This record gives sequence, C-alpha cells and structure tokens, in this order.
Amino acid sequence: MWRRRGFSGFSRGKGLSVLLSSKIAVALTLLILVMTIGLAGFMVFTTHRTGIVQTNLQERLIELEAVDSPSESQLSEKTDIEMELDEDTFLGQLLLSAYMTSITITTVGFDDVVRDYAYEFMDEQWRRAYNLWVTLFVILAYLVILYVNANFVAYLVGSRLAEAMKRRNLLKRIRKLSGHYIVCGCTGAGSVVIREIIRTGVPVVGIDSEEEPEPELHKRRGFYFLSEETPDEDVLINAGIARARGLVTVMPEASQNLYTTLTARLLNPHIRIISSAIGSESEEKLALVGADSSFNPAVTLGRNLVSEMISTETVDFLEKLISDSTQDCRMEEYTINEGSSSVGSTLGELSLGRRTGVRIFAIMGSGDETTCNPGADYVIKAGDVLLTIDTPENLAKLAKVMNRPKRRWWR
Amino acid sequence: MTADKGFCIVSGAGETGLAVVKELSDHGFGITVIDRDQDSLNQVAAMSENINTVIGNCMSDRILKEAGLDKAAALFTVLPDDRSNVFLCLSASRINPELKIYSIASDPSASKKLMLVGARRTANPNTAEGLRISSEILRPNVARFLNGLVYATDRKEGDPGYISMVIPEGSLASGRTMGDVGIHHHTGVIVVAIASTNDSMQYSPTAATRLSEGDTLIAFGTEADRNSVQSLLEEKSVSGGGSGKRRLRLFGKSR
Repeated sequence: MWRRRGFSGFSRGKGLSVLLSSKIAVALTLLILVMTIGLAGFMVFTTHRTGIVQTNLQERLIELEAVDSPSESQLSEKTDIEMELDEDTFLGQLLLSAYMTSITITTVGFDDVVRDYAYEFMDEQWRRAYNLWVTLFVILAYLVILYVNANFVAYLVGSRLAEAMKRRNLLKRIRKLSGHYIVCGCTGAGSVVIREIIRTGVPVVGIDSEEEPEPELHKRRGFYFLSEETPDEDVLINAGIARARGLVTVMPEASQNLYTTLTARLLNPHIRIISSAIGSESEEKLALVGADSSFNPAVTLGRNLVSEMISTETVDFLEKLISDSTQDCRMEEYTINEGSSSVGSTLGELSLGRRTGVRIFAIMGSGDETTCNPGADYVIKAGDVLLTIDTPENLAKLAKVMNRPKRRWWR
Repeated sequence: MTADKGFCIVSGAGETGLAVVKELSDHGFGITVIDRDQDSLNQVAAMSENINTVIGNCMSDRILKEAGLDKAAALFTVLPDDRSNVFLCLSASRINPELKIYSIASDPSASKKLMLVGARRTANPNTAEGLRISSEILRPNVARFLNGLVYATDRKEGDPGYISMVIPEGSLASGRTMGDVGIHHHTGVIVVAIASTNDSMQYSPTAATRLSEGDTLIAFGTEADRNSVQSLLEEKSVSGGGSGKRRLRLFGKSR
C-alpha cells in the first residue's frame, strides 16, 4: 500500500504526456482546425474581393493613361494605382483573413470589418455566399470555443495545478507549527488518536497513503493532512519533525512502523515516539530502533475485553479512565515549568478548586516521590506534575491560571 | 481457584483470542477455546495446562454445548467478522441466559446490535488501541503514575495506591451531597470518581454531587486513608457512641 513515491507534488504528474492524452489535447486540435477553416474561408472571399478591386484599379489606370495632358492630381493618382497594383496582395489577404477569423472565433466582432466587407465591390451572389459563410462559421466557432473553454476551466479548477498550489500552501502552514504531533496512518486507530489529540487543542499532522482523510477528520481545526505513499525522511521533515512534540505510527504493517520509528528517531533524538507493535516480538524491536513505548493492538484489545472479568474494580476503573470513549473526562496531567509563576506557592494560595474547578488528587515530583491527596500546605516546585481527572476545557483554564504573572504587593 | 471463578469460553484463537486467553489464564480462570483450526488450537494449548480446546465451527449449537457453554461463566467472542460475532452472541445467550458475553465490534453499529442480542460489553479494536496510544503520548506521567501506584507488584505497606470505599446500607452519607459529608474536609482524601450501582461512573464529583447507598467512591491514597473515609461513611445514626459530637459537626448542614 505504501509504495515509494517521489516527494514533490510536481514530479507526480507526467508533464507533457498528461497534457497530450487529456481532453485538453482534443480541445487544442479542434481550435487549430476551426482556425484553419476560418482562414481558408475568409481567404476565398478576400481573394475574390481583391480580384474585383484590382480589376477596377486597372480599368481606372487605362482610363488615366488615355488622358492626353493629365493634371497634377491625375498624375499622382496614377502613381498610387501603379504602386498598389505592384504590391504583393497575398500577404495582405492572409493577414486580413487571420484578423477576421480571430475576431469571429473570439466573438469580439468589431462592428465594421466583417459585416461591411462584403458590401463594397461584391455582387449580390457573392454577398449571399459571404453572409452564409460567416453565419455557419460563427456557429461552428462558438461551439468549438465553448468546448475549449470548458476544458480549460476544468483543467485549472480540478487539476494538478490546483492540487500543487494547495499542497504548497499546506506545507507553508505546517512550517509554522511547533509543539505539534505527527500521526502516521490516519485510518482506524490512527483516526482515534488524532481526534483525541485535537480534543486537547494541539495541532496534528497526519500522514497517510489515502488521497483524502476520513470524512470525520476532514476539515477539523488543527488537523493537517499529508497524502504520501510512505513517511520517508523528506516527508517527515515536511511534517515538521524537528519542531514536533511527538510522533505516533499506527500503520497496518509492522515493517512500516519499524522503519518510520527508526527514520524519525534519526531525524529528532528528543521526540517522543509511540508505535503500534503488531505481531509478537515487535515491541522489543521497536524499542531497539528508538520507540519510547509501543503497544500490541491485540493485547490492548484483549485486556480491554477481559478487564471487567478479572479484577472487578481497579483495573476496570483504570481501563475505563484511559479508554472510555463515551466520557469527556480523562485523567490529565499538568507539568509545572521552570519559570512558572506558581513555583513556591502553596496549593492553598493558588485555590485552584475555586478558580478553575480542577481538583488535584496527586502530585508527582520531578524525582520519584508521589504525593496523593496533597493538602493546602503543599508547596509547588518546578517539574511537579499535577494529576487530575477533568475535561480539556477545565485543564486549559488551569494552564491559564498557572501562567498568570505573579502579583506583587507594590503593584 | 479455578473452580469458584467459573470458566470462560473463548471463541476464535486469532491474535486477539490469544491475548484474551493469556490475560484470563494469568488470572487463574479455566478456559475452553473453540476454533476451526487445529494449529491455532495447539498453539493455545501449549500456553498452559488449564486450557481445554474444542475443534469445530462455533456457529453450531452442538459445538457450543460440547464446550460446556451451559455451565460457563463468560464467553468471549473474538471472531474477525462482526456478523459472526452477532450470530454467536445470539445463539449463546439462548443456550445460557446467565452467561456474560464480551465481544469485539469493529463497527459502532455492530456494537449496538451485539448489546441488543445479549452482549454485556463490546470493545472496538481501533478505539481501544487509539485511546491507549493517545493516552500514552499526551499523558505520559499519568501512565507512569498508574503503573507505579496501581499495577506495581513491589508495593510496601503504607504506600499509596488505588482505594475504594462503598457506602453501606443505612449510612448517614446516603442522600447527602459530597459537600455535606465533607470527606475532603475531614480526611483530606480527594474522591476522583463515583461508581453508582447502575454501572455509571461519575468522574471528579463536585460538592453538589449527591451520594446514595451502594455507591463506590474511588480515590488514591494509603490504607489509612481508606479506613478513615470508610469509617466516616459507616456512621449510621446520631444516637450513641463517643463520636456523637463529631457527627453533629459533620452533618451540621443538613440538620
């Protein structure tokens, strides 16, 4: 499924061959054909008309030559006619025909030229023929142009050109992300992972070989979808692995997950990598190539099924806490950063319960010590992890309160 | 041990089936596995001597009876296809209405159908895996906390862990709110969830949450914490006993 494919959006197209095999080619051929027909048709009439004009001129020339003592104006008229007759008329006719064809095809139709052309010099029969020809040609040209336009518009809207521009735009937006998560494999378990992460308000870059993400993920805020055959090095770089907080690989094949884990680990030594471990012994291999932790989907599912049957309460409760999809609450954590304003305050001073509704039931120190049910006199240290069971919304409130600058008495 | 826990039937010896069998046998259940493939059954039988195997099509009632379905405590249907699971679930609950049936359901709509035909609980493979993984990547310390406190086997006496307290019959706490009972005020223990008798679970109860008989309060703490909360919940009437004064203070609001 994950065949190897070049990265660039442009290298996917086959350039000229695509162009030639498409409807665009047909449209172009038709356009050239109708132009040729137009040119040929107009040439017939321009040649005929030029013939008449030249006959007239020659008659006038003979008339002028018959005059014994020509006046000044008659002499100049004679030279003009001689010059005009000496000119190469073919090029003129061709240009005029091309001009007429173009204004007809494009439906510009300057009022004068095409219509008035026939009414000088041509006799009744030729005029009728000319009018009939222009009418038929206009209809033909209109149909062809309709076809050509439709195809060009379709090409521009639904085409690789639009796709490539969309992709460029997407990559530009991904380049601005940081602290996001990358999820390789957006179907099945992957889509659950993505939804869970987006719930907490953190952006996700999803990579999958599908052309489009699952409908339920489509257009979710904070979700960026890269359609790639395989999450190779350059794909992961494009997904912003250097700035990402974590990477999850939940692709259907063990080898894909292993390879992606290794690639990701080499690109970013600090990123947190969680992988799905399919089959036996996958977990050890994944740990070897740098996965922080991995889960066997069959074992996870088995535990989930059995949890109620075995230790009636504890495990069941914890399983539910982690994997109850019907509940909005999850066991959540909040880490106190080095520079946080709350460092040095007691829990009582912060009165988190009153301000955010969040109740902290345990605090894990940066060492290994854990305080369950911390009292109001607990002093917060940098690196402490506060544990609570609450909704992402309340947790966001908590983060806001904890990062508020310290109020000083002199302010 | 095996005898009083009853035995479980696992139908389908695929990868998930094996995981279920392993988990059950680790907890000392007797297990009978049904599958059509002798090789898979041999693989399962090699895991422990507590495992019986029945070869045959689990869609037939004869095979189910042969596996002892009428005496079994639970059935795990882990067939790869939702329709087979629904069918199996239906025929099993007809043979033994008391049976607890746990099934996998790849599709949310299949889950509804399974519950309708007698399944007690269903698990979706994608959801189970997805939630587990996202939990691990989003909340690594939560996982560390749970592993350290709850699953750890080398816990010493007095170490904190998962504690649960049941509200006994006739308890004064029953019918009152969390705020009135004042568990946090008097014992310092923070109740993280309340499991009520109808199987629903309320996380992070507030002061306004009302308690009732049979509710299980869940918290994290030491055995001493558990005992102090439990004794608070066990106070039954105002009359008698030296702790009357304290009780009056405890339930002052409601008097």
